[in-house]
Parts: sequence; C-alpha cells; structure tokens
Amino acid sequence: MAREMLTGNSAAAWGARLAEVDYVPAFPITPQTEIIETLVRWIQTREMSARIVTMDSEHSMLTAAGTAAATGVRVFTATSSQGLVYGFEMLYVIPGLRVPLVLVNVSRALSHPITLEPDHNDVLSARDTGFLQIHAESCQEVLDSILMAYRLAENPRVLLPAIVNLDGFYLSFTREAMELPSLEKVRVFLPHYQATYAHLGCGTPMALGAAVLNPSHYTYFKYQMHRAMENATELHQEIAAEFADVFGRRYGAVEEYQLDDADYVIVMTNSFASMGKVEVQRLRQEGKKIGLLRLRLLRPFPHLEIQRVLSGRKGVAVVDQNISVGKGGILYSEIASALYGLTNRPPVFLSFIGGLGGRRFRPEEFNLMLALLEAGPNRPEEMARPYLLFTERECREMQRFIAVARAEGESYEA
Amino acid sequence: MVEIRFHGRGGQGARLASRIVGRAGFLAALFAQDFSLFGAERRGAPVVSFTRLSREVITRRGYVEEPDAVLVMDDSLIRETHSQVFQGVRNDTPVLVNTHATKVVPPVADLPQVAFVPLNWNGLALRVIGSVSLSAIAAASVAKLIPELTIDILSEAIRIELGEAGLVPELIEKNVLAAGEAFSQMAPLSIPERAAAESRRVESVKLFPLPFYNSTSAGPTILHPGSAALRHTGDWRVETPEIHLDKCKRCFLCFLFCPEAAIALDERNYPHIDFQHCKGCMICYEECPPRAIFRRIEEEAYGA
Repeated sequence: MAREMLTGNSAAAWGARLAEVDYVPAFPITPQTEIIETLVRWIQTREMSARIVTMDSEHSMLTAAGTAAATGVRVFTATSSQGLVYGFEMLYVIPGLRVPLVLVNVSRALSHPITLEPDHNDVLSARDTGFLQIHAESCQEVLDSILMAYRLAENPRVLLPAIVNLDGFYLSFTREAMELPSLEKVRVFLPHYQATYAHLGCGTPMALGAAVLNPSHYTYFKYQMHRAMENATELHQEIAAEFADVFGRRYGAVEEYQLDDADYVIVMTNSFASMGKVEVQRLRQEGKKIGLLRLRLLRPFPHLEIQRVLSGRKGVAVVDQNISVGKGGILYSEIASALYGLTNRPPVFLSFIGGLGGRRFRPEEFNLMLALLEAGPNRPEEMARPYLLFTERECREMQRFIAVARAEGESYEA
Repeated sequence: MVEIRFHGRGGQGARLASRIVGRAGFLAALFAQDFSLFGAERRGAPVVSFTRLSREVITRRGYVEEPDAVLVMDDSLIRETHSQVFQGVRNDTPVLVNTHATKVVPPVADLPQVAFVPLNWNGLALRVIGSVSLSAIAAASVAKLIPELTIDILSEAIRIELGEAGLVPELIEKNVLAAGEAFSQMAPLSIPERAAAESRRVESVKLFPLPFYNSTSAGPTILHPGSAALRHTGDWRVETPEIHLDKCKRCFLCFLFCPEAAIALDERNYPHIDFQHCKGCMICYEECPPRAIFRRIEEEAYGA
C-alpha cells in the first residue's frame, strides 16, 4: 500500500485497474475524459490488460457495456451529465439483463443552460433504473467505492449494475493524498472475476432480455430487480465490514458527522458535504448542537439507517444539490417517506435547494438553516416548500445583468 | 493550513504550478490538496487553481475563498473584474504578480493593503527556459512563503510533475534551474495571521425569494446577435501573428482557417487581422504556404 497524490478521476481509473476489468467501452466528455485517457495510457504501456474501445456515442457505449457484461467478463465504463442522459434508454436495459458492471458518473449539471460544474440532476435521473448508486465524498472513497461496487453488483443475490458518482471538478480535478492499495491486497477483497450467472459464450447460445408481453410476468421480472436491490442493503454492510478488515477503512450506507448529541441535522451528499462539515464544525465551536448526515448509498435507499439516525431529532434540513422542477428537492421527498411512519420523527423537516450548477455554499447559509430549524415554520404548510439558497447579492447581480441586457438591446435597436 | 490561489490564463501553467506546490507539500510530509477550475475555453482563457497545505488533515475542499497568498500569472487579469483576483484577501496578503512593471497599481481603491510583489516571471522564463512556461517559476516564488518547502523538495516536485506532463529531461532541468533562481530572488515574506474560524464575522443572511421573471429574462437567450464581439478576446493573446503583405500570395488560407473569424480580406483580397479578437492561436501562421505570417511575442504581455 502506497500513499499517492491522485485526482478523483485518477482514483476512478485506478479503481478499474485494480479491479482487473476486462473491457472498457468509452466515449469522452468533460469532466470525465481523464479517466479513459488514463486507462488508454496504461493499456498502451501494458501496465493494464484490458480491451478499450471508443464508441460512437454514450448510447452505444452503454449498449456495449451491458452486452459485454452478458458474456461474463468484468466491465467498467464512465460518463458524465449529457452523456449519461444520452444513453438513458440503456440505463433501464442493463439492469433488466441482470448483469453486473460499474459505471462511474462524474456529476455535471445538465443543459440548458449548458455548464460544467456539478450538481446531481444527472445521476439522480438514473435513480429509478435498477442501477445501484454509491456517491463519494473524497478521492479515496472513489477508488474504494468502485471495488465495493463490483462486489455488490456481482453478488448472485444482487446481479445489478452499479453507478459510482463523484463530483466534476470538486473531486474529478481535485488531487489529494490517498492510500493506493496493492493489487495483491485488492485481490484478497475482490478476486479475479468468475461469472457464475448464466452468460453468453462460445457454444452456450442463449437469448437474454427476451420480450415479456404478459403483464403479470413483466411485474415478476421488474419486482425481482427490486428484491435484488433490497438484498444489496444488507450485503453492503457485510461487504463494508470485509473491506474494513482488509483495508482498514469502514464505509456505512450513511456517514454520521458530529451526530451523537445533535438536536439539528443537515443532510448532504457527495463532495460538497465536506464544505458542510467545515461549517458544522464552526457552529459546534459556537456551542450549537448540530451535526451532518451524508447519504452515501443512494440505491438501495437506506430507509432504516435514515430512520435510526434522524428519529428523535428536533429538526432536520435536507440540502438537495438538485431540483425536480415542479416539486423541489429529490432527496427531501425520499427522506420524508422514510420518516413518515415514525412517531418520534423530527417535528421540523425543511428542504433547501443549493449548489445547482456548482454554486458554492456561503458559511452564513448554514447559520440561516440552523436558525430556521430552531424557529420552526410559521405554518405547517410551509414545510412542503423548498427554500432556495440564493443571496440578496446574487439576486441584485442578476437584476443588474437583466438591466444591462435590456439596455444593450435598446442600444442595438437604436 | 495555508491556502494559495493561482490566477492565470490557459497555457501559462497555473494548473501545473498548483500541482507542483501540492506535490512539494506532499513530499515534505504535509497534508496536501490541489484543484483547478477552468471553463470551456482553452488557451488564454482565465483559469484559477488552488493548493492547500497543512500539518493537520485537510477538511476543506473546493474554491479558496480566503487565500493566504495569491499568484497572478498575467497582469491583465487584475483588470478583469470577473476574474475576482482580490476576492477574500486581507491586509498584508502576499499577491505575487507576473509583470514587467516595477510596481503594481491596484485597480480599485477600496482594496485591503495587500503586499504586492511584482515579479518578471516572463523575462526569467524566456532567458532560462527559452519559452514562456511559468509553472515551475511561479511555484518556486510562492514556495518561499512556506518554511517546509526547501529548494531540494521543490526541485523534486518539479521533476515529478513536469515528467508526468511529458516534458523531456533537458527542458525539465531548465525549469528546475529557473525555479532555483526564482526561489532565491523571492523576498522573504510571511503570511498574515488568519482570524480564527469561530471569531470570523458571519454575515447575517435572510431568505431571499427569487421572483418570477417573464420569459424573455427567464431563459438563457441572447436576443441581440453580435454581442460576442463586445468581449475583447484579444486580451488573451500571448503570441501575435504578423502578416507580411509583401510575401502574401492572397491564397485566403489564413482567412479560411482562422477559428475566430478574426481575419478579414480587403477589396484587393489581402488579409488583415482584427487584434481585438485574435486569440493568438497561430493557426494562420501554421497554415500560410509562403510563410508570410510571422510569430511575434506579445510585447505588452511579456515586456520583451
């Protein structure tokens, strides 16, 4: 095991390399491209033995990934944002084939307006597909989660593909010191791949993904995916314990930060949770009983863990770095469903939208969220609405831009 | 913890500089993190990158809002308001500026009393390396502010990072040499104390309801075409193509290949460059069959 300075993207490439993947279909997109560039370089120098093929689109890339996995080889691929949604049809097809693979998504906010920095509307759009989802906060967690994702996905009780998510720029291009495990050690945790499920091969022809036109049969197959996903909840704990035994790092479905005696909890995900932790630490020093819950396993959704952590708290604020247009924060709704049946659920449960397009949080916004949690809503009806984290200054700046745009227009017309 | 912010233009080495300092910190057994943000444009476009070094585990991530030192690799960035070169600086924050001037004039009056350090990195790079590659030199200047970073550690970091970037050994050694000179010339400055996190004033904010705007203001629509010309991307140029009309055969190739449409033909079909918008990509220089286009290093940028 060696300590190395690696970006999130190189950590993802190392994940694929150490997992000794056989096949990598690829298509470039910012900010993911560095992953496949790194893999191409290693394959060229024979430091890595795999076949990489650049495809003509993400739709083809995902098709190739799913069908290759159906031949019983270990498959890795990566994309981001527009690329993920371009291949969207196949995101439903691959889980339906019941084949394991790992897809790394480097989060980037979706068009329009086209942009580069991260939010999670891209990866959360895939939440209903049947892909497992692990969201990483650090470069170390990217590599570790890829190894864990293969173990989860390939388990016969699961047999579903997995997405490992990392934030564009804030992780993909952030370099930090991390433990790079040796191949020998990785092999102890994730042995060389031997597919045990029915797979295509020379001399073993079969039809995968056959048509099922009978509604009750369709229901059977669809619900089997859900049962497999439920198995992954328990399995994640077992695999995490095994991972900790081998590598000394333990990952839960959720991460609890400063929660022991916390009355108030901020819920966040991915790399921006690091920024939330800094502010929670600051508020702690001011004597506030606040903590942070980071969701790491998004699919299967860890209902029981969330209930365990959030029950009995005085107030919970969910910060969604996404927006379901016409509804609000996606994770707020999901967490609300987990809490509804509890008699001691938090009486104040608020929704905040922040970090869209990579917008940076302001320290004072955490004071504001805490103040709102302490005060509670004026009327219970207000709890269903999302609050937007957007400062007066930003609003003034937008108004200035709009005024300039109008003035420009008038001067052009004149 | 020390947080350093690098402002540069694509191609000048701001990203690599932040990586060299990050690597040097890592080699000096500090906790280290480096990170870059850049837009969709490449050469010449504003780039910002960051390095954090600490004796304790680094819990911060992302944009450095309150830098302990700022590096400005192109003095034209000081005038670009959207580059936010001075964001979060405090009194005595070292601001190292690459300039051929001997004094840096602050662009706005209400700036804290930062410690401007004018440094002619271009001159040093041209003389020792032979090209305007600033990453190692800039890294060396700022490394002087951090006691743990010795010149030996810095040199090793330069060799690793420039080696990974694919530079040939001869060129790497020139960078190490130039960095050594920059390191020894840099004045010994200290980083001003930072207010403790808990005592830092946290502005009070209120919830700000974002109002609804009508459709013409609600979408990212540019109603009046031609506004891109208002952005003078000629500021990004670090090299300038110079057309010698006496050698020009009027083949139009420069006009056809210019990706910015910054070359126009006159009534006799001779090409002329619009320097307000020419980014200095030098594609015209590469394409010109009779070699009628020459390469000139931008005087204002380089103080040559």
